[in-house]
Amino acid sequence: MRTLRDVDPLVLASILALLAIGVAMVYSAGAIYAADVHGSEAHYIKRHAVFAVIGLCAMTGMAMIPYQKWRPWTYPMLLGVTALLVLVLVPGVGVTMGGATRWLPAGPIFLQPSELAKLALVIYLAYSLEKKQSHIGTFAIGILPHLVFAGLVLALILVEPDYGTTMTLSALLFVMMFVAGVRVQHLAALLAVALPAAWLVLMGAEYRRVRITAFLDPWAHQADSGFQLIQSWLAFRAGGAVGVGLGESQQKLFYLPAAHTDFIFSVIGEEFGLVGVLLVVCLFALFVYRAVKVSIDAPDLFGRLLGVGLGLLIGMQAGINMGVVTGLLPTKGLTLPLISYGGSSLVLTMAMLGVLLNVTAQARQRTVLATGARSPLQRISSGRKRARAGGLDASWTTG
Amino acid sequence: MNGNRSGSYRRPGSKSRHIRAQTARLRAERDVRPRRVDGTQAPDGLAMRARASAVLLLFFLGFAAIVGRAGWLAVGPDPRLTDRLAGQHERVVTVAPQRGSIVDRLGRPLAVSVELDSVFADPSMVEDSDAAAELLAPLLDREQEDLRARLAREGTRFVWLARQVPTHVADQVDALDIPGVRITQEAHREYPAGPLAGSMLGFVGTDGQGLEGLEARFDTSLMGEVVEYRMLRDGRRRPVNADAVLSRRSTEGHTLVTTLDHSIQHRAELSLSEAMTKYKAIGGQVIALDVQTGAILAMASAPGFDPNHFRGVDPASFRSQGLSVVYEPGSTMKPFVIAEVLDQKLATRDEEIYCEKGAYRIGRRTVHDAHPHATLTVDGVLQVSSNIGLTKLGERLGPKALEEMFRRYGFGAKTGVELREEKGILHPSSSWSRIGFATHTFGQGMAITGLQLASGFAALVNGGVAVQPHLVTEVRDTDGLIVEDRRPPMGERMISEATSVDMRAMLGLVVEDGGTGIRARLDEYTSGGKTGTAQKVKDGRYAPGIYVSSFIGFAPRDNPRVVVLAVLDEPKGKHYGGTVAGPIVKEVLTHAMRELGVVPDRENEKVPDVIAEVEAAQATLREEAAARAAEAAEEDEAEVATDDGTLPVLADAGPWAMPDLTGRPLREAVAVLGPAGVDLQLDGAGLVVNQTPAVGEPLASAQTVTLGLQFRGQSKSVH
Repeated sequence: MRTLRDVDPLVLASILALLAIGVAMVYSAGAIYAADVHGSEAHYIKRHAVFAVIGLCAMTGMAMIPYQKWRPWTYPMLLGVTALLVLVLVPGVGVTMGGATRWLPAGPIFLQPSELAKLALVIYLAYSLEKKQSHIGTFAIGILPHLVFAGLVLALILVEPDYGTTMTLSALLFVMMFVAGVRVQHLAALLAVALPAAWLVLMGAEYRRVRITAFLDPWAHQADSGFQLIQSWLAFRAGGAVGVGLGESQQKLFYLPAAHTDFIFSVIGEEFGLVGVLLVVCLFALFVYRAVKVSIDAPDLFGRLLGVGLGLLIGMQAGINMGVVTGLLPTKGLTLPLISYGGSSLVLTMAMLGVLLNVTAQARQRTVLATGARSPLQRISSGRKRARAGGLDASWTTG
Repeated sequence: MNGNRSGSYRRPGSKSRHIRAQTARLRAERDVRPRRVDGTQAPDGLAMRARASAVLLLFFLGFAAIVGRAGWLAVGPDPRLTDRLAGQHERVVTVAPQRGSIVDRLGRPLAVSVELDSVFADPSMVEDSDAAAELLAPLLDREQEDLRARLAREGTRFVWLARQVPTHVADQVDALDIPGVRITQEAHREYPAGPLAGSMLGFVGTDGQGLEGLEARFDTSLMGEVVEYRMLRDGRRRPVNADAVLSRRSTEGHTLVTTLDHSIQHRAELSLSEAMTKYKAIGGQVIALDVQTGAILAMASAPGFDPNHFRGVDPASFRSQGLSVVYEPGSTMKPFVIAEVLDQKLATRDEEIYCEKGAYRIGRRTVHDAHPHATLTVDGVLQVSSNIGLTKLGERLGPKALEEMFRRYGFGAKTGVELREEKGILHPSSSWSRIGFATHTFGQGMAITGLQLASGFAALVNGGVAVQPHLVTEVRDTDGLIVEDRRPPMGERMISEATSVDMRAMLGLVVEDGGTGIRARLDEYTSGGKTGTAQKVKDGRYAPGIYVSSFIGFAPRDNPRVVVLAVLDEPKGKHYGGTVAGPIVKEVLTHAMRELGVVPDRENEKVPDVIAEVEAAQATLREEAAARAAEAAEEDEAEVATDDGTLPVLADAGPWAMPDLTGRPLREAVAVLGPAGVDLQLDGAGLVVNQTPAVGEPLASAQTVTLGLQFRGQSKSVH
């Protein structure tokens, strides 16, 4: 219980705020579609609410488990996830939706092993990067094992196909290795090889090329491949500075594809305008900033990398989703964490956040609480002065 | 909080010492990190912080890019976005309203729109065409095999199964709920009275647009406003909440309230058609007009047509003869001349006119009366319809005043009624020959439409005020509110009220014993009228034995309500207007009086008792004798002044007066005008058709004389 009380309040607050926005927006964006497809306006919101409650339970539960307990599960989890990812690809087992085979039937719901893979991969990288810390400067030990293991998982996800997740996890791999202290020269060399390779993969298939060209000039393809992006842009245009008001979106009336999942950010942009966009972006920024800043004070390297990795993973997924719907990044099927309707993936996301919260709790118990600050707000306001007064490095205590 | 600096009560020293110790301990913890094998220092907390900060910086840059991008999308100057957004969600759905009705003056329907159910199928959605055909065949009363073939038709998504079926059949089909078989509504225009008033109502085309008659003239009003609903459209191009909008079928075209009286119209058509059969006429018309307002109560036209089945009908029948047929009116014009003479006090009713014992020379031509009279009072001139009497009375007016009078009543011009009409022919008096001037006084040399005559006649007897003939009084909306009140204003005064009263009395004499129109006499109502029998002009000449027979009457005599004109074109056997058209007027007038609730003001001579029957029989005999006398009297009218073929003499009207040169070749005109020394201006070639100055005007030396010339056959006008 002590742990729960000590979780970082700003991380928790941003999570809950985003979750609340998500509940409202899933209802607003999905009601028409739900009524049309499922015969009930409340089809998505009911399920989303249920998953949100389950997610809150999962998050609480995970927050109570000391993150150190995941260490021994690193390889079993990685193996299990790999097995599931392989299982997805077995014909007749994996469920195909929209041309992608990403799901396993698990009772009443569909399980997406790539969601599990995110947690497993972060734990693996945190564990492995900590363990190989003494040889982190070498390519063979500091980089290669991670490339191989993570690469295997990424390859399995890539062939589903799930480019969004592949892209997110690839970026995460680099960022975690970077934070863990891998040599910058190695990473630069790696990027020099990986980026052209990624480009080749991207342009290797006709339908992916179509996506890229649509991304580069959606106006030229607004009737077909560029339609979704143009419609997303029009949502922001319709919203303007202050939006058309909650529930008033017209773009969600089947102009936006999957308004309640992948393009929910566009609906926010339409209904709440730039104000809403700014609010959501700021909440994610606050979340990432706090997650990284607090986790870095975790008692051990595993915890630090785990916290930083999880925070960056969620932040990256959000950034990529928002980049996609605004046309900064090529179109990918990727949900906006905590906000999009996502069923089981919401639960898994929140479970990961539970792990993160535990990291923040332990970090704060170790540092901030030891400095005597009673509340985070108090600490923020007083930290700098205290640091000046005490001649301390500001970054230490302000966190 | 600023206690640290002031160093007062918060034990600053111990606190900062505590923090420093803590910090040192943390640093020490990190420093126990093992050395790397390559000899470099493993990243301590600070190095990791720096790297994490770098990553965070990248993140914030990314987030800032997203906000910037969203801002540009939201409010940036990109016309493509603005243009594309405009109208993307709107869909304009037009709802065509149900066409409005046309009703008579009492609201009885003449033209209505009904929605009939039709059954159609989308063959691509029909699962079992055999079973469907078997179910539908008995319901729709169609061949099962035919239905099956339609239901199984390839390459189409729409086939009619049965059009315009009764509602209960449509309901039964609907109840079967066969996939792909559906019901739709089709608008259908009904003319419940069949051919009644068809030539005025007109009809609509397949898309419901008015093609003829009132349907065409008031198409916009009847159609109503096509309502444009701007509704939200979703990404699949479906209107949002369309059901709610489309169910509002309150839109309906406006209703046209006509002046027509269903019952009088029916009587008029019946009487006309009976007379048409009896006299084997080639055409005919009956017009009943409210003398005070000019409202057209009835306008029958033969041959007629049924607007329900207009296809294949001769288009000439689409127009009412009262508007489309231009004919020479003959004696029905005489009352206008007499009224003008009386009104201008150029004669009195009892003044005796010398009637030349039946032959009156005008120049080298002669005007005849069939029954010679030495003298006739003005009343008598009208009663026996003396051409010579009229000629002499007309001379008191002069040609200019005569023409002006005709034009004042609207002859030679369109009446302004709501339908397409002819304006008739009235040449300027300047072009009249002397004999032409004479014939104009008894209605020859000009051509009119029936409606012109009826409306002019109304002014003669209604107290002297012109009326505007019209067919539509109001345009009403669905709620019965008047959208447009089309009742015309009072017209101008034509003659004094006193003259009008005189005219009623004089025209009354026409239907009394000794008059030409006793067959038009009403049994229960006092009345008046005038016969008209004109020889038809064929190929520029009066054709013997071919007549236009007409009668125009009004009732009651002292307070006229209705004027009725009946015209038969080329009746066979008999041709006198009083005989052929008079009975039609009698029937229609009587019916109109009853229909309008006019109290009978004349004792019915047919009293049902023995003595009365005997007296009635005697009266009938007397009437028949009188009718024979009337027919004899009427012969006057058919007589036309005949051309004796000699050249008009220039010296007739003074030293130098303009002669009548019309109909003369240019050669002769030059020969006649030569001695006068005038400056001759010629327009055209052939025979002289008009001249300036007019006949009888003085000619001065070197005066300009303009002659209009045309070859024979270029104009059908007769002078």
